[in-house]
Amino acid sequence: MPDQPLPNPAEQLGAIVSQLYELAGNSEVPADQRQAISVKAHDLRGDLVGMVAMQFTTETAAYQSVMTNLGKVTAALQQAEQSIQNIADVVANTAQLAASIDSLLQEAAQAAARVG
Amino acid sequence: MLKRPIGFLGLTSAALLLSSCTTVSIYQDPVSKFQTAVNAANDSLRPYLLGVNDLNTKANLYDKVLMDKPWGTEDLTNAIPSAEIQLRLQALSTIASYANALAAVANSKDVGNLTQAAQTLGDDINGLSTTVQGLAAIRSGGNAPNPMAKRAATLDLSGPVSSLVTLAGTLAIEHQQKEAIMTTILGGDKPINQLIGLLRDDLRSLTVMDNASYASIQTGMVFLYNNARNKTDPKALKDLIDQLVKENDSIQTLRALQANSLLSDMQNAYVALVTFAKSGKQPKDLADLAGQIDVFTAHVKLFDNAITSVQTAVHPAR
Repeated sequence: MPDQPLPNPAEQLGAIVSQLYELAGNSEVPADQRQAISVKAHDLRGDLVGMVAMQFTTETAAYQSVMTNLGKVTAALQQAEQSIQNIADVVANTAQLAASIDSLLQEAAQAAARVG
Repeated sequence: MLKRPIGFLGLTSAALLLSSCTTVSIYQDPVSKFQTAVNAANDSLRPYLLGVNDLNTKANLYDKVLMDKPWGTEDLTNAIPSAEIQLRLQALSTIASYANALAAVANSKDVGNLTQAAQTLGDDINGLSTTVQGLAAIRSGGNAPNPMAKRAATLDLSGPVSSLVTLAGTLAIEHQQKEAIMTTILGGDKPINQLIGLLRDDLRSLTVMDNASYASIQTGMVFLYNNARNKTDPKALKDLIDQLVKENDSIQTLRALQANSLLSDMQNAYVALVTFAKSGKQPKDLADLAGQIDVFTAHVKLFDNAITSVQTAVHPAR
C-alpha cells in the first residue's frame, strides 16, 4: 500500500510568489525594495517549478522547515498589507524560506540518487 | 390452441426487442452530448498544455527586465520536458477517442461499425501505452523514482492504460450493440475515471505554476508601461492606458481559468454516465445524467469563450 502524500507546499508557495510579484509592482513600495522582492519572487518561482512536480510522503525535518517558513512568510505578507513599513520582514523571511526549500530539494535529489 | 402461445411469444419477443432497442437508443443523446463536450474540452486544453512552457519562459524574461539583468539561454529552457507534455496530450486524446468510440457504439447499426470504433480506440490506447513504456525508460535513465518524493511531472498512467488495453480487446469481440455499449461504459468505469482524475490533479499543479507566471508577467508589464509612459507625449497617453488595460484584462481572464476544474466536471459527467448504465434507467436517472453533462458542456463553453476572447483581444483580425 503506497504512502499517503503529504500536502504539497507548492500550493502555498504559489500564492506567496504571486503576492511577492504584486509587491514588486506596487508603486508605494520603495524602488530598492521592489528590486529585492523581484529577485526573491523570481528565485521562488524557480523553486515552485521544481516543487509542483513532487509528491511528498515523509514528513522530514526539511519538509517541516519549509512548512514553518511558508507560514512565516504568509504572516509577514499579511503584516506588509497592513503597513508598507513591514516589507523588510517579508524580504528576511523569504530568504529563510528559499534556504529551506533548497535543503528540501537537495534532500529529494539525494534520496533519488540513493535509489538510482 | 397453439395460436395464443405463439402470439404471446411473438409479443414478448417484440417487447424484448423494443426494450433492447430503447436501452441502446436512450444512450444516444447523452452520449452524443458527452462526446461533443469531451472533444471541445480536449481542443481547449491542448493549447493550454502546450502554452505552459511558453508562459514560464515569458515570465523568466519579464523577471530579468524587472531585475535589470540580461536575458540568457537559461531563461528559455523548458520547465516541463516536451516528452512529459506529449504524454498528457496523448492521454487527453485517448479520453476523446474513448468518447468517440462510445458514440460510435451507441449509434452503430452493424458489426462493422463496432469493430471500427474498437479499432480506433485500440490504436489510441496502444499509442499511449507505447509512450508510457518509452517514458519509463527515459525516466529511469535519469532520475530514478525516490522513496520520499515521487516526481509528479512523471505522471504515472500505467494502471489505467493497461486496463484500457483489455477494454479495447473485449470491445473488439463484441457483436451486439447492447453488449458493446455496456462493455464500453462499464469496462471504462475504473480506467477512464482514473485517467481523468490523474490529469485533473496534474493540471492543478500546472495551474499553480501558470498563476505564478502570470503574476510575474503582470508586474513586468506594468514596469515596461511605466518606462514607456516616461517617453510618451501626453496625447498618446490615452492609447497607452487603453493598451495596458486591454493586456491586463487578458491576463486576468487567463488567471481565472481553472483547467483542472474542467476535468472535474468531465469526471462528474462520466461518473453520471456509469451510474446511469447501472441504474433502472428511469426518467429521473436520465435527468440526473443530462444535468451533469449540461454542467460539463456549459463549463467547456465558458472555458472556450474565455480563451477566444483573449485571442481576439491579442489578434483582433482573427
